[in-house]
Order: sequence, then C-alpha cells, then structure tokens
Amino acid sequence: MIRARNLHCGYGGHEVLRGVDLHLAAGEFAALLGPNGSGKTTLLLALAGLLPPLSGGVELAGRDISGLSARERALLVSCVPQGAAAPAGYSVQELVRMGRYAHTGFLGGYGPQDDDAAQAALADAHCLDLAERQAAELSGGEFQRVLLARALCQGRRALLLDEATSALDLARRVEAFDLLARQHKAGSTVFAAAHDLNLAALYCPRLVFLKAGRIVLDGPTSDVFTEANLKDIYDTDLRVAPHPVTGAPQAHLVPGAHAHASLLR
Amino acid sequence: MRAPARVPIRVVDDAGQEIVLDRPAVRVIALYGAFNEILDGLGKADVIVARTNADTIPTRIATLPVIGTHMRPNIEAVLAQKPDLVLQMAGRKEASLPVDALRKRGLRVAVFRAASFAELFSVIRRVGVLTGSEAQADDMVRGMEARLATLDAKVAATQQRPRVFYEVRSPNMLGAGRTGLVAEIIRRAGGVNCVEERVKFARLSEEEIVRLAPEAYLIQRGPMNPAPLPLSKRPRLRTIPAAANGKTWFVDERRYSRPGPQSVGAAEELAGLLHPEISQKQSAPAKGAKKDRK
Amino acid sequence: MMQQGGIPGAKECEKRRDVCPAWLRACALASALLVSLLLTVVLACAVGSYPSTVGESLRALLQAAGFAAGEAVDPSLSVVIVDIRLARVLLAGLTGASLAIAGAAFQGVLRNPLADSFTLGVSGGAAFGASVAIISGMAGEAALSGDARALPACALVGALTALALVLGLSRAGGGPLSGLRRETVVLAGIVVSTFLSALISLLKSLDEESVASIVFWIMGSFQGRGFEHAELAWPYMLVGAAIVFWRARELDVLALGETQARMLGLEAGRSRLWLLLAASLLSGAAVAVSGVIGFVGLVVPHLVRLVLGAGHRRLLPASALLGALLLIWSDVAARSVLPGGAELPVGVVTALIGGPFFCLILARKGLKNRGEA
Repeated sequence: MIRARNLHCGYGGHEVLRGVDLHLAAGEFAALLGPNGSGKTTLLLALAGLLPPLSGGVELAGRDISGLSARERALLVSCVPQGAAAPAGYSVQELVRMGRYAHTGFLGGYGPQDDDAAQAALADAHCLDLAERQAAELSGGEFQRVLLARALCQGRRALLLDEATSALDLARRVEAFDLLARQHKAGSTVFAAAHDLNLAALYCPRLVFLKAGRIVLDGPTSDVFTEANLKDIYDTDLRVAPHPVTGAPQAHLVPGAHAHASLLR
Repeated sequence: MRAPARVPIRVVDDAGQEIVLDRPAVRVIALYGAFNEILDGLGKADVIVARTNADTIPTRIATLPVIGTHMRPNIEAVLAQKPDLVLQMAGRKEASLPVDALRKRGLRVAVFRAASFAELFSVIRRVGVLTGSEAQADDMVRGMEARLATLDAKVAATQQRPRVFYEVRSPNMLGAGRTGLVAEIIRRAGGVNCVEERVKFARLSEEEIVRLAPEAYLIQRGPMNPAPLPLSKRPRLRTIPAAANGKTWFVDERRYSRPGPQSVGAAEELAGLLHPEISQKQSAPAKGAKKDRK
Repeated sequence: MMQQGGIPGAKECEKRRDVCPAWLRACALASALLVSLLLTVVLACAVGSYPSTVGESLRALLQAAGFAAGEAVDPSLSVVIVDIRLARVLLAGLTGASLAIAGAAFQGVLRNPLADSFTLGVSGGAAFGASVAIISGMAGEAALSGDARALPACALVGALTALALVLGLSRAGGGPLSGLRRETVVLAGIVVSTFLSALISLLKSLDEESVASIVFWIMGSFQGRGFEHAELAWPYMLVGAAIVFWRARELDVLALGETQARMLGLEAGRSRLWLLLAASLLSGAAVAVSGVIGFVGLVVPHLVRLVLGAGHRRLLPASALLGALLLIWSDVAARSVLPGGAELPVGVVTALIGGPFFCLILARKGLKNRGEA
C-alpha cells in the first residue's frame, strides 16, 4: 500500500529523514515510535505526499506519489494531523464533512452521501454528541476525536495518524485504539505515530522505531519490543513485562534510570 | 504719463492691505491669468516677467519663465524674478497661503476680488494705478460700462427670463452659484440662475438639476471641465426643459469664469443665445459659443 | 458526556432542536435580507432632493418594469427615480456585493480577519491603474462619464500588481500565504497603498487640471453614475463572483491551513491563486466604476460570520446581500444628508461606519492574541 525508498526529507537545507526504507502492506496496522525529534511527523508528511522528498521516493498503491494529484492522494490516504488548531466559525459536522472534499466534483456541492459518510464517521469516532458544537469551542481531546472522525470520513483505505491520541484521557485513548483496531480488521492500512509505547505494543502487530531520521528497528511487536532495544533507542533504563490480560509486552520505566544510564556510558 | 517719482503710489487691496509703491510697477507677476489679460488690455503686457504654468494669454507671455501654479507658486522661482508687484485673485483659501509666504519675504502682493462687474472695474482701475496706467484703465472700464449699459437696454426690452444652469464641472457636478461673476453675467444677459445657493460653485446631484428644471443649460469647456459630454448624450437629463427646447451650449471657460476684459463679451454672447431676437442687432453674438448638438 | 446514557429518542429530539435553528437561521436571514433588499430598492428610490413619495417610487419602478399601475408618473420624476436613483441603487448594490465577496475571499484565502480590498492595497492599485488610464487618455475622452471600456481592465491590472506587491513584500522570508502574519500583511498593504497614492499624487501634479475629477473619483462615489457604469462592470463582477462561489468549499478547506487543506486533497496553491485573481477582479471592477470605497469588504463578512458562522457557502451569498444593502443605504445617506442637493462621497460614509469597526476587530484580535501567548 505505502512504500518509501531511500527517502531523504528535510526543511530548508536541514535534513530530517536520512534514508528511510519502509513498506506497509495493505491491511497492516503498524505504530511509528521513536524519541522526540526523530522525524516521525516528517515521515508521515512525506508518506502522505505533503512534503516533497530531497531524494528517494514514495509509492502509494503502486504509483509514484509525485505523479498523483492532490485529490487522488487524498482518496488513497487520510491523515490525522498533530497540533492542528480548530478553525473558528465551523461546526463539528461541517468540519468532518470537509473530509469529503476530495470526493466531490468541481461544480458539485456536498450531497446526501457526503452527509451520510460524515454521520457514520462521527458515530464511529464517538462524537455524534459533538456534531452541532462549534469546533473552536471543543477541548483538545474532543477536537482530536473530531479530527479522527474527519479522517474516517475522508476514506478508510489508509490512515496516517500523528499523535492522534495524545490529548485523550485513558478511556478515550482505549476507545480510539479500539476504533483503529476495528478499521484494521475491516481492511484498512493503519500507521500511527505514537509516544505511548505500551498502547502501541498492546494494539499494533508491527512496530517501526525511528531515531535521528533513520529506521533503527522494524518488525513484529513480539520480536522488537525488548528491553535491550528500548534501552538503546530511548537512552533510559526500562523493564519489559507481559500484559496481565493480553500477554502483549509492556515497558515499565525505572525511577532514576536516566542518571544511571548516563553513568554507565 | 509717468507719475511723479516722489509721490508714492498707495492702493488698498481687497484683503484690506495697503500696497505702497515708490513708482509704478515694472516687474509684475500675476498668479491668476486674468490679470495678464487686464495688463495686456492696459497696454502693459511688457511689465509681466513670469507666468503660471497654465497661463499663456496673451501669447507673448508664453515664452516667459514659469513660476508654478495659481494655488502653489514656487516661492523661490517668484523671488528669483525680483518682481516689484505680485497679483493674486482672492478665492479659495489655498490661494492665500502663498500670498502670506511671499509677503513675509518682502514682496508686495495685492489680492483682489472680482465677483461682480463693479468689483472687476474697481480691480482694473487699481491695477491701472499700480502700473501707472490709470488713464488706460479708465478708458477700458468706461468702454466696458458702456457696452453693459447697451446690453442692459436691449435685455430690458425682452420679456422672457429663462432659468439658466451653468455647468462648471462634470460629471462630478459643480454649478455656478449666486455669488461670483458668472451669476452676474447670467443676470445681465437676461437669465435667472436656477441655482440659489449663495456660493461661487455649488455641488449638486443630477437629480437636483432635474428638480431645478433649467430652461437653458450652459456647459463651460476649459481646464475645469476638459471633456464634458453634450446634453444630448446625457440621458438622465433628457427631461429638463433645456434638453427639450435645445437651449444648450458649450461656452469657453476662460471667457465666462475668469473675470477680465472678456467678461462683458461673455454677457453679450449669452444674451444673444438666450434672446436670439436681440442678437440680430448685435454685431457678433455667439462666436465663441457652440451649440452642443452633434 | 453526561447525555451518553440518555434515552435515544430524547437525544434525537434534542439534536433536531439543535439542527433546526441553524437551518432556520440561515433561511430566515436569507429571506430577511432578500425582503429588505426589495424594500430597500423601493425606499432608496424614493429618497433624494427631487420631491417624491414611496408610492410614486413604487409606481415608477413598476411602470418601468412594464406594469401599468395606477396613473402614469410624471416623466421627469420617472427619470429621477428610474434613470438616476435606480441606476445608482443597482450600481451601489453590485459594488457592495462585489466588495463584500472580495473581502470574504481575501479573508478566507489569507486567513486574515483584517484583509480586504482596501487594507491589502488592491483598491489603491486599481485606482492607480484607472488613473493612468484616465490621464493617459487610454480610457477615452469621456472616461469619467462611463464611456470607457478600457477602465475596468486597467483597474484590474493595477489591482493585481498591488496584490502581488503586497503579498511579495509580506512573504519576503518565504513560506506559504496562509502562514503570513496578519499584521505583516496589513503593514505591507499600508506600505503599498501609500506608495501608490504617492504615484497617484504624482500623476495629479503632472496634470493638475484633472485633479478635481480624479480626487473626487478616487474618493468613491456614485454621483453622476448610471446604468452605463453598471453595464461596464457587471460582466467582470459576475465572473469574479462565479469563481469565488464555485470555490466556496475550497475557502472552507483553506481555513484549516496549508497542511490540512492539502491533506484533504486541495491543490492549495492553485486554489488560492484563482481565488485571489477572482477577488482582485471583483475589486478592480468595483473601483473602476465607483472609485475607492473602503471597509465594506472588511466589515460585512465579519457581521455575517457572527450570525451564520464561517461556512462559505452561506457566508458568501449572505455577505453579497448585506454588502449590497450596506452600500445602497450608505449611498442614500451620501446623497441626502447635505442640504441643497450636494453630495458626500459614499467612501466617506462607509469609512465613518467602518473605521471604528476596524479598530474594534483589531482590539479584539489583539486581546485574543495576548491571551493565546
């Protein structure tokens, strides 16, 4: 579904991604992990075709992304951006329906099928109750759910999420990842950048670790989510233990570990 | 004709200033073109040493140095000509600023007002005194007064007093108001200015002109109204009586709006237009005016 | 969150209660505006120095439309009501609608509440273009009398040049148009406007005799304008408005910012270019026939947003209607407040209304920005 080949990306001469090779098969559910500044957002933007690569390339559904129009791209991948500000003067319903922009013709407006898609997306993202509210008046967590709904409304073939649950409380976070898991089961390709290692390990069969603009680790969760790997990537001491219910590996921080790790060096 | 050198010349201008000259002015700059025509009429065109940008009458002054415009003369350029007399026409406030500036620099500046024939004659006489040509001024004024008297007599014999509108500028419309020489020209020519405001120029809308329903419509053509449309090409004024009866003419702005030796001619011309029955007896009635039908 | 466990039926009810007002509000506002537009035409045609009544105005208008209603109206009165007043109402309406649509488009594209044809210097550019056309004689001898096909085109060229200058100046450091700081853009607009008005002054001093005409014309007025001016401008206005209306949804998407707009599948750059072009077309055509009239494009979209929200499919038509109404009434004021049939330039009236409003927006935005920081 999505493939990056020797991808180099950056902003104004500063290179952020330094040769990324990645293949996400159709229907995969993977998390993108890594420390701050490792290039997660940049990679997602490049994969969505929003940031032209310095070199290398990205393929979407077998086609070179630079040859796709904005509309074609938007029909293939939906994104949940990070740190977006809510626009003033729009209701949630209107904002979510904008996800259908790529589906409408030049002259046509939004039709009943667009309203239905927006309604279904709102329902799936558990924000029907927000539909009539003003987007600008939502809390950070509510707005993230609305952005997720908009991405679903736009299309469910491939979802790229950038810290899409960072502002959600625990219950909402689980709810959101349950939703992503359901989308995955229904056939969507899901690639979610996340800070929360354990949530990623709990839900995603595949983890991709980015550090300093390169993929340092990529594989099935059970293989790569090890103490040694995590210590290495995050420069801190960690313990990994199985989840009491699902058995998925979960990382646990160790107090004072950073000082300890520094001493070890 | 030379005035005795020892007796200073004293004239009070229309701003109340006394202008004192030791001898008649021989280097004159007029900041308003009509003075050049008056000086020319007095046979004193040779005292003019510079002109404003727009003034080229009489033609012999066209080659003189330019000192700026009526409203904004270049003070340095004026000083450089070392004039012994500067003439300005009172009117807009802006015109008085350069007057103060020039006076501060020691120049003698006379400011005159000519909003009626009586005032115009007084101006001509005083300009005559200042330039040592009282006799010529007296001749000129007497001649003009005589022509006006003749005109008055002819006009008195006519019955009609048509309502006249005088367009100063269009399409951002200005009409001649009740104060100003144009108003008197209209009256002397046997018409009634349909604008009643006591101003020189009245701003008014098209519909106000329709309301005023002028029976004669004069359109001045000149610097203030460079490209006016004939009345026949103004559909919104089609119902005014002047449009229906065809009493609409282009007239020369320089002749009508600028008080000077030509002003009596303007009144004679207009009388001929408004009252064609007297024009047969008149020598050359409407040589400047053009019927605006095309 | 509390209602989550509520009875589904009750929730449905509540939703409908919420939905209806939004639609009702839009419909109510639209019909209120339309009705007031019709009333406005009749009333505005009844006001002026020529004595006339509302009844006469209505009869003259019906008569002109081909309906013989009651006794025939006096021909002079009919000319005043139809040829003079109705023509002005029409031109003021077209101009007000164009400026309001252009303002909404500029504000949407640049995501800047302070943007409009006037603050961006676009009107100044159009005025400069048209001044050149008038003074050079390119627009013909009778340019100011409405017999000038070249005038709107010259105004458009001027408008686009000014816009390019302002945007070029404000993004001297690079970056997308949507990311420009509001103050920077307005500052650049002021710089370019000042420069252009200096150029216009230069033109005027080169040709002092046409000063009065050009000064008055630039100030913005419908005096002496007739159907011929509306005829001159409406094709440009129609094309500009059509482009903006067709791209109303793009304006919504652009409101989300560069990145999100592209995520949703909008070629943001091309869309912006079209919208800016169309807004300049509207401004240029308005300036070409009415002179520079400020603040309509700034104030009207803000007022509509307060009631209808920012969705451009409602905002644009409502702004067009309100802009038309505002300018028609401003013109009525301009031609009736002075005694003796004298007129104010309508730009003065709108500036008197709009100036304080502009300050209000600025102050509120300033407070808000400080709150965010």
